[in-house]
Order: sequence, then C-alpha cells, then structure tokens
Amino acid sequence: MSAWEPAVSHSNRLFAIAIAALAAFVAAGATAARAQHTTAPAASTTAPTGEALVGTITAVDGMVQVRLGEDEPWQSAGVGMKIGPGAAFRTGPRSAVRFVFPPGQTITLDRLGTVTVLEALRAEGRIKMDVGMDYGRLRYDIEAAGQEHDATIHTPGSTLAVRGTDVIMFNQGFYPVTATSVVGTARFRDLDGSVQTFGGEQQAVIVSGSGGAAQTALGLNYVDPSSIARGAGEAQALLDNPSISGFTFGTTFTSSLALPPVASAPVVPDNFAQGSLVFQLVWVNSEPSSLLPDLDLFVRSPLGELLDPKLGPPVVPSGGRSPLDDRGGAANRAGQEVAAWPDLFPLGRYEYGVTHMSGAGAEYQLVVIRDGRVVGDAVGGSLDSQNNRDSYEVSIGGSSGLQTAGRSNSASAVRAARAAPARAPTARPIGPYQSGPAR
Amino acid sequence: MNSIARSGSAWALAALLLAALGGCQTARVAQPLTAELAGNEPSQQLEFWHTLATRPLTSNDEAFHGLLLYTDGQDPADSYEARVELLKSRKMLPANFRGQANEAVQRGTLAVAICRALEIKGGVMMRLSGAAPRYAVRELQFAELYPPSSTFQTFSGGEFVGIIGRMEDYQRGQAVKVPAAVLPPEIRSTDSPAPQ
Repeated sequence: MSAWEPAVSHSNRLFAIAIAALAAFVAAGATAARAQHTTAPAASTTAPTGEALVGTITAVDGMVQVRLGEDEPWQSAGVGMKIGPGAAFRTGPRSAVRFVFPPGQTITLDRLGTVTVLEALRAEGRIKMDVGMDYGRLRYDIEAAGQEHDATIHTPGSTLAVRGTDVIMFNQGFYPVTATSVVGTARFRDLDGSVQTFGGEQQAVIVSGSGGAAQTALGLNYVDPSSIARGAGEAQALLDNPSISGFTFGTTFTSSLALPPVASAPVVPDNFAQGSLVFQLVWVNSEPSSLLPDLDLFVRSPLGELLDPKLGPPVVPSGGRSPLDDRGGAANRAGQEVAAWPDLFPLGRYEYGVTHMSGAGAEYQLVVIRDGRVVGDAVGGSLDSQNNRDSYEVSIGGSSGLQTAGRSNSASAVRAARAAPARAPTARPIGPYQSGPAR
Repeated sequence: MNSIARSGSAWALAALLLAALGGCQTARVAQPLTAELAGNEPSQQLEFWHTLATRPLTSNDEAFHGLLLYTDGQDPADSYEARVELLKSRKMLPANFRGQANEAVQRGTLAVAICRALEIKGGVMMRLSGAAPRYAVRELQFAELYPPSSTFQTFSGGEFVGIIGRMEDYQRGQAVKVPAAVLPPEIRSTDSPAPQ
C-alpha cells in the first residue's frame, strides 16, 4: 500500500482509506489464492520420494530470465542451461522460453509471464510434474508413449491436470482463465471447485466460470443453422456443422450421413411445426482407458416414435432421423450422436437421454437445438456400467416466435434435468430403457 | 436556534463541496516505478514489467514508459515530459493532454495510444472524432483487447501488463492452436488468428 499517496483533503483521505482497504482485501485474496497454488504442491515436495528430473532450456526468444531457486538471483536464460524443481522463469514482451523435462515434456512460457517448476520427479514408474503460473500463457506438450505422466499446471484459483496431451493455460489481467486442449483430454478444476474433463483430437476450450467445454464451445463456435439455406441441403448442413464444436468428430460421422433429400415445400400437418429440431450428444472418456465408452442417444417424440441408433429405425414417420451409431472411435476422440427432425417436427413433450452401452465411464453433454437456437442449457453428467442411463424431458411449443418458445422450453428443460439427475437413472424409466445393466 | 441551523447548513454545504471536489480527483501513485526502473537494459525492463504486475495502480508515467518499451523495444525518453512529447509527436496522445506523471492512467487515454500503435482505424465515429477516447475504448472492446470499460477507469499493474500482452497477441497472433514446441516467431498467421 505504500504506492498510494492520499490527497490532501479529508474526503480524499477517507476515499483513499476505503480504496486501501479494498485493495488490501483484494491483495489478501490474491495472496491467499497464490498461497493455495504455491503451498499445496510444496507440501508434496517436502518429502519427495523419487528421482528428481533435470530439465534443459532449449530455446530463448527475446528477454527471458531464469532463477534456479527462490533465493537465487535472476539471470539471463540461455539455451542449454540445466534446471530443476524450484526454477522460475519470467519473460518480457515479444519473448518466450522453451524448456524440456525428460521424457517427452515440452513447456513454453510465452510473453509477459512467470512460471515456477514446483515439482519434477520420477516415482514408481510415473513422471510427476507440477508447475505454477502466476500470470501469462503456458503451453505444455506431453508425448505419452510408454510412460505414465501426472502433470499439473496451477494458476491462482484454478488447476489443469494434463495426461498425455497438449494444453495451453492462459491467465492474465482481467481476462478469464482459459484452458485449451490442443490434443487429448485434460481435466480443469475451476475456482469454485468444479471439475471438467474436456478435449479430444481437436481443440477444446474451457473458460473459467463458463461451466464447461461444451458451453464454452457453444458460446465461441456455435454454428447457426438458420443462416443456412433451407430445404434439402439443410439436413446435411446441420449435421455437418456440429453445434458443439471443439470436440473431435471421427470420419465415420460424416461418412454415414447419406440422408435422403427433404421435400422442398412440405405441407405442415396439425401439431407439427416447420423448422429443424436437433438433439445432439457428445461424450469423452472420464479417464484414460483402452475400453472406449459407447454411449447412445435416444429420443422419443410426442408421437411415441423412438429414435435410437441400435433399437430404432434410422428414420421415423414424422421425419426424425438418427443417422449414426458412434461407438467411441479411436482413443482420445469425442463421440457424437445426433437425432434430428430437419424440416418438420411434432410439437409436444420429447423424452431424450443417454445410455451407456459398453466400455469405460464417460462424461457427456446434451443440447437441444430448435431452428438453430439452443433450447435451455446444455445438460450433462457422467455414466458408466453402473449408472448407465440418464433421461430428460423438454416441451417444444407452438410456432409463437423463437424467443418465446425458447424461453418456455428452457425452463422446461431445466426443470426436467433437475427432476432426473444424472445419478438417478431409475427415476424416469422410459420405454425399453429400464434401469439395470446395459443392453 | 436559527444560527445553529445556519451553521449546520453551512457545514453540510462545505462537506458536500469537499466531497464533490475530493471525489473527482484522480488517484495518484506515490512512487512510480519509472523513478527506479526506467532503464533500457533487459534486466531493468524485466524488473519493470514484473514489478508493475504486482502494483495496485498504473501511473501515466509507467504506462507511457511501458508503451514505448513495447512499441520501440526501448524508451528513448529520459523523463515524463519527454515521453509525453514523444507520444504527442506520434499522435498517440492528444495535443492537449495535461495528465501528471503520478496520476493513474485512464483507459481512454491509453486506448487512443493503443489504437494508434496497432493502427486500428475504427468505425465512422472514431474516424470523424480523430480517435476520441470514447470511441477508441469501444474499438478496443470490440477487438477484445479491453474489457467493458469507461474512459475514466484506470488499470492495476497486472491489468496493464495483460493489455500489453493482448496487444502482442493482436499483432503476432495468438498461440491458441500451437504446441509448445513452436515458439511465437515461428507461428504462421494462419495457425493462430488474432482475437476477433
């Protein structure tokens, strides 16, 4: 607080005192947050049980300093310098430093940032790395071949666990903390303690406080199908442009979308609405595992028709389609299934949900999209062979305008989600989807 | 009784006047870093940036020094007055700028300088107004360099450093898709689009 100079007037002193108190409060919070990220790993380093790893600086661009320990002086970083636990870096503008820790860990600190290597050791066949970044942007690649890694990036208030993947962590100024998975899955713990597993073969982003990768991806990359020309091409376009981007979609997805053309001038029957209605499911492995999870999306229309990739026909009389049975594909790849009424859809209550069919546990996200607009919030949860089914309901109203319909549907979807929590799969048995072991 | 009431009213008026005058004054930084860390040596520059990042406020002098370090790689001016003149000559500060060295920098003032440095032309109003702070702030918000701001807000040290980092991302592209093996100078613009 010595940097503050109160002005001469009494009111200004009061103002300065108030600001000083506020700044002290904020500083205390920041200190506490920093202490949380620096002391927590330190507790684990007090009795390291393993072989300490030695890293090497492999590239320096611009102004970079390194400090080999907390009590050591800052010095210019140079290529070839050896570093270990306790080493810290700081960079200037237009600067970056890259260092590697064996085996296969490459870390780059970009411009105007600081990072400290809190822990670097090999123990019981695992590589354990902890790095703390006060601010800046850190990129971290792990080549996972033949070695188990347990790597974590700490920032004040959040943590990113890295497992054989490429990630980027950004924390600076008033911008929200952002974790990006370039390749592979990672786990992000936010300030509020919530944990999100995200990533795949393509880039996925989590912004702190946003609620998860799918919500972030929706906000950042949502493709509005209403901008696409209506008619025969729409169905394909809807499905070729996944609304939850940021996940990886395998080639089987796009190659299986040979849908029949939709009538260009459909007659709208009673209790139907013109437009598109899409249910979209995306999932990723809960944990790295060779047993790839196979999840299935099911939707029962207000007419009682069932869309299910394994139990139902690919097309139902009302026009709904379930074109793909995605069985999980390759490792570190998100799965996706879609049920869609591309041109007309029945009005009323839809039951929809997810069934875990086989393999390891999975985290999923589900969205309902009407005419290119998301109905309510994305819902999600975890499923495995024990808790193998979640179901939800949504009421799709008449053609009284998108906004009004969206709001009423939103409330309905949220209520249904709360009525059928992820951990109570038996709460709402629907049709053939009775509780019990996977089919 | 009457004199007591008059006396009370006078005190209330005086207090109101004092509060109004005092409340409108800009916050000041007692010991700007530029007094100690204005050198151009890399070690001095790094010490300046990372000490500033921990400070609760950024002064005009610190902001202008930092801006010159970023745009030129060094600060050729040896005083606050020289920095202001240099920035005015580049039209990064308005000709009538009168801010003091130890006053907290205003977002509007800095926005004009950043728009000039990044060659952000802006929309019709900004072009017509000659990069008025009000429109410069809006342009930077649109470019996602600034958060929602008013022109008279100020920055903490960490926020100012974050803005400088964001300026670099705007110019060089963000490393949002690039693995750690690639250093920023090796990033092709097609790999890493600038902020929208």
